[in-house]
This record gives sequence, structure tokens and C-alpha cells, in this order.
Amino acid sequence: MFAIERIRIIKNYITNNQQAEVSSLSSMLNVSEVTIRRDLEKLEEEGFLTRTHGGAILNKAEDEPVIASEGFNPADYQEIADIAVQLIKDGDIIMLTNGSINLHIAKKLGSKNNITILTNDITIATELSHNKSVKVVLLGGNVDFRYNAVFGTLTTNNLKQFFVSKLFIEIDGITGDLDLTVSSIDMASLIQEAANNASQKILLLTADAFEKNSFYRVGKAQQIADRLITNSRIKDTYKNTIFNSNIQLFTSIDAFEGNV
Amino acid sequence: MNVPALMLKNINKYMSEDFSLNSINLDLFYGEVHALIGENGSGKSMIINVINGIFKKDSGQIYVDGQEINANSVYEAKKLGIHSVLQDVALYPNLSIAENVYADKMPYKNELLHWIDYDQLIYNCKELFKDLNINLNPEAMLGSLGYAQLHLVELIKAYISDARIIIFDEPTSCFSPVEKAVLYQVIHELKKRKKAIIYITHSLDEIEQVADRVTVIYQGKIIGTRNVTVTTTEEIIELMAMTEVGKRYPKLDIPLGKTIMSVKDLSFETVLSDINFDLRKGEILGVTGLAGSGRSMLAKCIFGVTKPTTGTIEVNGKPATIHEPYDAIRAGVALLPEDRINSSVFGSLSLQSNVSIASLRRFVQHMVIDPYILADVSNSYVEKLSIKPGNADDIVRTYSGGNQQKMAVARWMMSHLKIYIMDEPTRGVDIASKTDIYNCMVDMVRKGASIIFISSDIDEIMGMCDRILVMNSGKLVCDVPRAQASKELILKYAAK
Repeated sequence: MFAIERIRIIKNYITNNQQAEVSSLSSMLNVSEVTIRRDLEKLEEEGFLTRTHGGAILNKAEDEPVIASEGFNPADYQEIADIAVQLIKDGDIIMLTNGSINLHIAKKLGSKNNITILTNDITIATELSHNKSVKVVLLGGNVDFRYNAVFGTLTTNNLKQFFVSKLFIEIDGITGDLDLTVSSIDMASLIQEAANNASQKILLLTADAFEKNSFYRVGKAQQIADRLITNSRIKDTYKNTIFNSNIQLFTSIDAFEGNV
Repeated sequence: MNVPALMLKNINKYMSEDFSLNSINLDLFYGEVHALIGENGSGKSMIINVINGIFKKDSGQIYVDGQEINANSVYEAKKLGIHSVLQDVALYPNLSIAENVYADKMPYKNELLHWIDYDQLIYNCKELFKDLNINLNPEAMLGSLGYAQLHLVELIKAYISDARIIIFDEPTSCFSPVEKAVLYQVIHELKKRKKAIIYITHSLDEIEQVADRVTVIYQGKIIGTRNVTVTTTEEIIELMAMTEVGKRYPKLDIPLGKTIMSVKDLSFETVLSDINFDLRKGEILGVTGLAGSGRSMLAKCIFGVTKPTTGTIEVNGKPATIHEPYDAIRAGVALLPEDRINSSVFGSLSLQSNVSIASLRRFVQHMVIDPYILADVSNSYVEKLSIKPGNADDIVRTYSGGNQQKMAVARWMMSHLKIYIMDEPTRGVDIASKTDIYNCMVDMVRKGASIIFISSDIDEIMGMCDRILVMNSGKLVCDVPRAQASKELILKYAAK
């Protein structure tokens, strides 16, 4: 189970019971007591509870019910990145287009060896600079400060010099007919060019992207990519269409709790 | 050429988004055995159901002797001269064998009064059994017979009927060699009498034995028809394997760990013999084979539902003594059974009870189950697996097959075991739920669990598994890594 999910459950539990013991939380949630203590520490910092010996009690001032965060949900990105990282093997040459999911992938590359990463996202390149075991190639071009990434003719020309084994494409929207859309025309042409120079192409998008469409069209999903990673709460009709279009659909069902 | 006994022309039938019959054209002549072959769920039985009027066709025509017919029930089809021997028996267990055999053709002393001549009936039946070398007492109750013998009675009913067209739907699936010999003799006799016969099977051996022509069906479409005398088995296999689908199964290449389970010399009576295999950490091991090849029995033996006659099971290098399912769960093994409705879903309980029932121990606090955390954890599973509508109090009976199956998967995931045996997890499940179940498998193996995935859908097995085992009449006949497997190879081992 994911940390955020666990903390939500702990919060609900303490709201209902006024107090909790570390040992019982740990057995019920299938995680170690150390993890539970760390979660309780976080909640203490939030002022939600006060830690006691072997447990915690609810702060009385906290009356308002626990509200699930709306819209933007970092757990969505994390889950998708978790699956995407599994696709990357030691020694791979990959490209990450600009975006938050790809940034999360970059953060998780620490465990891999000898990976070369091509990207147009400055934040991703900076993030990877902490990691000594990877090689980073940042494309050139016009900097668009809204995305903190480079785009334009310079970038697409630059792209022609490379060939990557795995291309991770982050998309902003998808229609019912699996038309991919993004929020800028430069981004669309960058993705089209990148797709020409890659052997495996993987689409990344959150479940929210299925509900909204952006303005600029990239192309049909089945022509651009062979895999798609998203969250599990997308509508059944989408699962159906994607499966029938012969695209491998990975949904981030992050339900199984921890390693066995 | 003469008029075909039975002709299907452009039959279409839409069943679900997943399955439909697409312009089926088929012809059958007198004195001929026409075999239909295809995987489970390819539509063989569906065609028979359409001919018999059990399912109404959407469009197309059915002709008998050149006359268009429209049967609305099995009874009407019988009157038109079509006799079907279906997979399920429809007999009277409280009557004698003789009465069952002659149910459609009773010898009467007086026609008008329906006065049955019992002496004649028993005499006829005895003679008939002598001719066919059947060792049954005609006066015994039908209810005293075993499953295979019941099918034999159905077979004999077809033999003595006046029907000109006879349909056999997988007649040998439960037959031993003795009963098979009777079957072949019956078919031989019927052919001599110039009857037209449709013979459904998925065994290639039988086709060589009895059929004149063979038609291959795949996902509701006819792939091709061949003349058996001039076609080799290899050609038929090729025809069956032609139907490769795209790479649409979500499969992660997880590095495999150490061996977590070994099954050694496992046998069960005559159903399973000498099964040996290893399962590694993080592996999805595919087990396929025809119905009746012993796949499900293997699963039951490992999980302790049935006690194997011989053999040992090692979990984590240590021999596990599994006498009953409880022992298996304690050893870290779960079974998602094939028969969802009878053996896994509690239809009249709520969704929450169903999901949490295998892991209640987790939520015990001071000898009482904590309802809040139980609700929270099970809700999180329901949400993650998009089980819909998904209210904790919903009675599960009202849920669709796909959602019920996801619920069964969630139940075992929540119990957090090491080895999952999944027997036909995607059979009769809609596509969206299928993708969810595949992704549950991905989720489990990437966190270190191992899966034995039993399925008769070869595409799915090829798409999801690291290694594939093929079973045939209770034996393991093939063990190949995914990279070396092909549909042709699997079919060859499964159907030979």
C-alpha cells in the first residue's frame, strides 16, 4: 500500500478511536512499527495528533473531517512512474519528454546502472545531476519557461541525431477514439519527431487526462505507441478500446501491500 | 453435387462485445462426418445452439435438405430431423436405463392409450447393448450411473433415433477408451446408414479417427475447411495457429528470484501422473491444456482440496504438509478457483465481507475485529481494482461476472500470500475487468509474489507468462520458456 493511502487510513482510524497503538497499526496495515512511527511523526508535525509512549492520541482541536485531496494527486504520478521504471533495464538508452510523471521516473532511476537519458526537460536534467550512475543528454532549443523545457525547430533537428530504445511520452489528454493531445504545438511536433527515432514507445498519462482534451493533436495512440501506462480508475470503455487496439495497457493497481 | 443435408448461410449472432458469430457458412452431406475444431470459447457450441434454436440468430439462413428451417427449441429441431448430443445430459434419473434410451421411441402395446410394452422395451435394449458391446443392465435406474455412462446413454439415444442429422458436442470429453470404442462404432454405423454427422471436438486425434472433413473456428469466425483424407495434422495445426493476436497483454519482465515452490512426482488416481515443476519468485507460470487435461485437478491438489495419491510439494525449500486448504493458506498458497459462482463468491454476503473474509485475522484487536480499519483497507482495494459500484454494503450476487471476479482477486491480494494459483481468472469476464485482472497480476509479481496462471486461452498465456507448461491427459508434456513458445507448438502438445 502506498504511504499516502496508509496515512489516510491512520488518520481515519485515529479520528474514530481518538487514539492508536503503534503495534496494532503495524499488524493491521502489514508494515513495520518503524514505518508506523515515521507516519505518526509526520502527522504530529501536521498537528493532527500527539505521540505518546507506544502510540498516539488525537488532538482535540482537530474537528474537521479528513478531506481527500482533490484534482492534483502526486500519488497518481508516483504509481505510474513505479511501473515505468520496471520497464527500464540496465544499459538502456531512454528518452523522457517534459512533464511531472517523467520527473518522477528520473527520481527513481537511482537503482539502475549505466543508463543514458535523453531529455528536453531542464528540471529532469537537473534532478539527474545528483545521480552519478547515469549519463544525461539535454537537447538544445528555445527554452519555454512555463514548462521549464526546450522546444522548437532546433530541438527537433537535434533529436534527429539520436536513436533511443525506450521513449517515455507524457501526454496531457486523450479522446475516446484514442487521439492524443498536448497543450502546445511545439510539444506535439517534438513528440512526433521523437517517436520516429525510438524502438519502444510508452505513453504516460494520469487518469485525469482521460477526462480532458488539450488543443494540439499529436496523433492516434496506436500509431504513436505500443504501451500505455495510466492509473487504474480510468473508465471501462477506455480499457476496452485500448485493449482492442492492441496496445499493452498497464494500470497502476498499487493494491498489493509491500513485498512478500 | 447433391443437396446438402444441412447448410448454414451467413449466420450472424451478436452475444457480447467480447464475442459474436460472424457470417458462418457450413455445409454437411449425408454419409459424412464433419468435424468442428477450435479452442474453448471459439464458438463451436454456439453454432449448435443457433441450429437448435436455443439462441436466435440475428441474420442468415439454415437449410435442411434445401428447405429453409427455423427451429425455436431443441424439440422442434428434433421434429425436423436434427438430433443433438450436447455436453450436458438431459435424462430422467428416476427411470430405468431402458426407458431413458427409448424415451423418444417407446414400444407401445396400444398407441392410443400410450400403453408401454415393457417386455419389448427391455428386450430391445438388451439386444442393442449386445450389438454395441455395452455392459449395462437395462433395468437398472439411470441415477445409479456415473457421469461417463450417462453420456453413453445420450449417445445411444442418438444412435436409435430416426433423425437424419446428428450433432455430437465434444462427446469424448469424459470418456475412457472403452466408451470411446463404443462411440467410434456408433459413428461408423451411423455413417453406413447415410446419416449426416457434425462432430465437435478439440482433439486432433479424434479427427483422424472419425472425420471426413474438418472446419477450424476461431473467435466466432470460420478460418477454413479441409478434407481430412488429404490433409496432414500439421496443416490443421497451422490453420489453428494462424490466428495470432497483437501484443496487447501487459507483461513486465521482472527478474526472477529463487525457486519458491517445487512440485515433485505429483499423481492423483488416473487423472494426474508424475507432475514435476518448479515455480520461481516473481514468475508467472502458465499452465494450459484442453478441458479434462487435469489442469484444475493439479490446482486442487496443490491447494489441498483433493488429496494427491502420491507426490510432495515444497514451499521455500521445505516440504509442506497440505491436508486441507487451511494448511495451504498457512504455507502461503492461495487458489482462485475456476468455478466462481459455486466455489469462491458468497453471493448473499456484502462486498466488504466478501473482500475481507480471507484476511480477518489482520484486523483483530484485543480479540475483536476493528470495523473501521477493516472498512478502510477493504475500501482501498475496491477502489484500486475499480470494483463497481463498490459500496461496502452491496450484495455481491447483484454484481456482474467481471466485478465478482475482481472481488475474488482482491480478497486474495489482501491476504498477502506468496503463491497465487489462478484457475481461469478471465473466463466469462468483460474486457475492462480482464485488463484489471492482468494488471493485478503485474502488481503482485512486481512485489515478489508468484503466480500459477491456468487458462485455456493460448493468446493470453503467451502474452502474460514467463514460462508455459502444457498438460495432456494428466501428464506434463511440454515445459518451455515464453521466448521459445509458439502457438503452433502449444497446440501440437495440447491436442495430440
